Amino acid sequence: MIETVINFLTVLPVAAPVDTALLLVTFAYVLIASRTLYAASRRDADVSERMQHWQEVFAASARERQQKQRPSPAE
Amino acid sequence: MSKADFDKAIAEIKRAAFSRQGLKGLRSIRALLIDVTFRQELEEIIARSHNQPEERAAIAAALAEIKFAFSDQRAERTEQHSQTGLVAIGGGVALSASAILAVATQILTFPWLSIVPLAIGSYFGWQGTATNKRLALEISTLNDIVEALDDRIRSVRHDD
Repeated sequence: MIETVINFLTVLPVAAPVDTALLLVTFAYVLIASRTLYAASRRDADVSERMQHWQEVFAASARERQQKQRPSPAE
Repeated sequence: MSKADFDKAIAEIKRAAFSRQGLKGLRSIRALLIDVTFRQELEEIIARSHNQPEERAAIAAALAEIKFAFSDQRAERTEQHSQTGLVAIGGGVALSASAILAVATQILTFPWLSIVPLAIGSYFGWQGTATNKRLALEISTLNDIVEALDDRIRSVRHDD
């Protein structure tokens, strides 16, 4: 099986130069495109939970402030 | 809320600004920055530090640093957006078209080999389209974040 593949790869550039060129271009494209897509998709740890936590802290603080500012019924 | 707690929140936003966040993370940062309670808290802190201009300047500087980090991220993603469009999508279409052309002109000794560039070109083209769409949404969110930070910085400096 491996021998057949090696034979095929050895014979291919001589027997079919255009096919070989097309495969080499495809190989180069795979390298460049996968590197580009990897760079565009790289992400660090998600912070959405922490940001939501701070949003809740700010909301609680705002509620507390409003309660302090609201006059009591006795006043 | 104490000034120390507010500083902790700003420090966490700054850490997030220097990391590479996905769409979910960026949207949560935007939601926090445009939240009315964040603005109120900032106004409260500024009002409390009325006689301490250096403290207000420090808040403005921290917000500006965060803004610049997000601006850099926006520039980087804009560049990646065009790279993905050119390399992944453009290259994929060109590779698939060349495979079809090679079969049509009967230039290949083994026509079945054209399936390889056709499949790879189509796959990366499709992946590139999905990545580009996500990058466009991230750039739009980063624009909103920078704009919101600009507003907050203006409000801090306005009180000087």
